[in-house]
Amino acid sequence: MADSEELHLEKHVDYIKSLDKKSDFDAVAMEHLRMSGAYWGLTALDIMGRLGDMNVDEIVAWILKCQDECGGFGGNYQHDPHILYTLSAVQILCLFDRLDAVDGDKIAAYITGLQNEDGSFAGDEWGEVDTRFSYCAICCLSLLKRLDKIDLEKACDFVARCKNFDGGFGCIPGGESHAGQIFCCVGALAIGGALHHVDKDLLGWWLAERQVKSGGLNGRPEKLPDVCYSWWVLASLVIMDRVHWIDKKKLAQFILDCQDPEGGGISDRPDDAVDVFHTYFGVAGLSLLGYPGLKAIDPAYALPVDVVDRVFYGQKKQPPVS
Amino acid sequence: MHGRPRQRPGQAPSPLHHQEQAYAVELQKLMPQFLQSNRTCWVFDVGVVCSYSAEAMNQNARLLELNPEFYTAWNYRKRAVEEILGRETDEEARKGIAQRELDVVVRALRVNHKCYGAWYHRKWVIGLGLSSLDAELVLLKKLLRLDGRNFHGWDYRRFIVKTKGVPPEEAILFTTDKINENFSNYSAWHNRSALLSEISKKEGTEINRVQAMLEDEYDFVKNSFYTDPDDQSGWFYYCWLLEQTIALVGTPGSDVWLMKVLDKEIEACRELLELESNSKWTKLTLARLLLTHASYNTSSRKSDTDEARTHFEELCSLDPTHREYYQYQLSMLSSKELIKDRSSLTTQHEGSEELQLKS
Ligand SMILES: [Zn+2]
Repeated sequence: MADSEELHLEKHVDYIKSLDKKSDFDAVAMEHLRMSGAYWGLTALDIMGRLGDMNVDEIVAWILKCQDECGGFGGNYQHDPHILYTLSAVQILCLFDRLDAVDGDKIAAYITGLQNEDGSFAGDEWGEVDTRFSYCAICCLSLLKRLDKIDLEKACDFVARCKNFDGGFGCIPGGESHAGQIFCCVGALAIGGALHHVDKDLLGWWLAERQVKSGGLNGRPEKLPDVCYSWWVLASLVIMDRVHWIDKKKLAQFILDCQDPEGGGISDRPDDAVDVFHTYFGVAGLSLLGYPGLKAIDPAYALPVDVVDRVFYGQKKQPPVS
Repeated sequence: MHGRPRQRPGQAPSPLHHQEQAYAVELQKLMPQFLQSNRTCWVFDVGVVCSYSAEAMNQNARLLELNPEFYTAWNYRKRAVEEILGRETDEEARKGIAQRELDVVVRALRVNHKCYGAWYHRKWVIGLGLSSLDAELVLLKKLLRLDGRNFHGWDYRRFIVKTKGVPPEEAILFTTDKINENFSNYSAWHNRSALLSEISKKEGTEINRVQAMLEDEYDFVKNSFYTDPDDQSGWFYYCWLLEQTIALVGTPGSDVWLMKVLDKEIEACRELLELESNSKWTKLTLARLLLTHASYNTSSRKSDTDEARTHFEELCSLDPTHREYYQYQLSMLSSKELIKDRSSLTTQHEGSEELQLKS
């Protein structure tokens, strides 16, 4: 695969930009999570240095339309609010340095209302509990600088209760370890300042064992490799300072082999159909691997490092480049 | 999004593609209609009772069959069920309403058996207490036979088992069956570890019983190594068993027991290595067993550590992808030895002082 050895950056940029005009089954079936789709696409563009091509005001106006009276955001206009899309909305606003467009207290009140007595979080008013939602809550409130609004210790203790025999984490106590879930739990504990709950040597080893012969990473033992785990496994390993336990060169090659060199975009495995989700995770994975020409990404907040710095250290907005 | 072949330019679209296009058209028609009625229902939620007509419910069910991930449509159903149950008093009719929801979930799971929203809807309906839990276990048996690693199915099974109040001693039998069907079922090993912890932590469980359980588990998991020593599933479980074994140190009679177990397991790994000299997992496990042995048995400390070091060194070339991990283990070994050397120097020193005093 000689033509796959480098990142086809321009192709990926064009692919992401083209997504909004599509109306095939995949596009229609993803309408309910357009907010997350936008976050994946826009973050990938930012990492590739091309966020400036987008119409900020148009996107921000659409995000505001997706906010419900309760403060939470839906996956799209007229869709019910959910914590997953609330985090995506806040992350996009961070990308554009437009947190000023929303009422942070109102969003924080929505999230705070979803915390249960045992420290866990529901995804929405219907009460589904999952450590993914713990991550969404902690990450989102941290970006809004309102972590003090929840019982953070209890939130972290609940995540710790989801730890398993292999050092990994599941959706709820007793749930099987899964790399995606591990990212959420390790990310939540990292932001919440409670990484002491993580057995770094045991979990680091388990995560390193996700790398298969092709160089790709799987999400659970004896499963096929998939580009999205490049992000989940890798980000967790970076947070735990164990990323050198995998073969980074081989992983980068696996991601590059999953590119569509003609149409742009990245797929789960070589020669499969591309989508925005795997395009983002592939590009983000390459960024964590230090691939040249890409912006560095923060492994816990899943946003470019300069964006996170701007949120927390309040750097002034850059004047628009004319 | 997963496992779909890439369409090459100029390549004829697959028959599946035409089917999907038809679905896309149908979805594009149904979705706006639904979202409109969903919003009106919601606005009037406070004062006016929404009708949730049979037609609206059927249309919603069709939407969820076309796209089970459409979470707002699941929410609509929950609101509808709450409203309908609120005015229905006949027990049989109420059960029928719950059953209709379970049927909608089954149709959605047929399209996507990894759909969080569909699984949660099922949990939510069961929480109403109008359905048979045994029927759920029968359904799960079928589902986990088709895909033994479906973690949603396992999570849901744990939920049913808990709701039904099945004791862990009984629940563990299902994991035995699944592992006997296919030892490479990591989901089953995982569940087994949780159940075993639950049993051994139960009040009044005697140490002897825990020890016997652990010994049985060693024998059970070792069976899988003879079938395929490269399969990861059992090895992670084995590693955890070793941890549980060490955790018993300090309890009455456990120190002798530990050495007995370690000797037996070291022997077993050596036998396995004779059959499969390049088995990465056997080597790694043997190295760990030896290091554990070394830390509890001073007389063989040096030979155990030396042998473990050889295994780690061989692992570096046998499994170069994880070389850095083995290097880390080796570096830990030498730093530990440094500390041990230093402490043995002090003991010698103290000893000689003692001798001097005596003389
Ligand atoms: Zn994937």
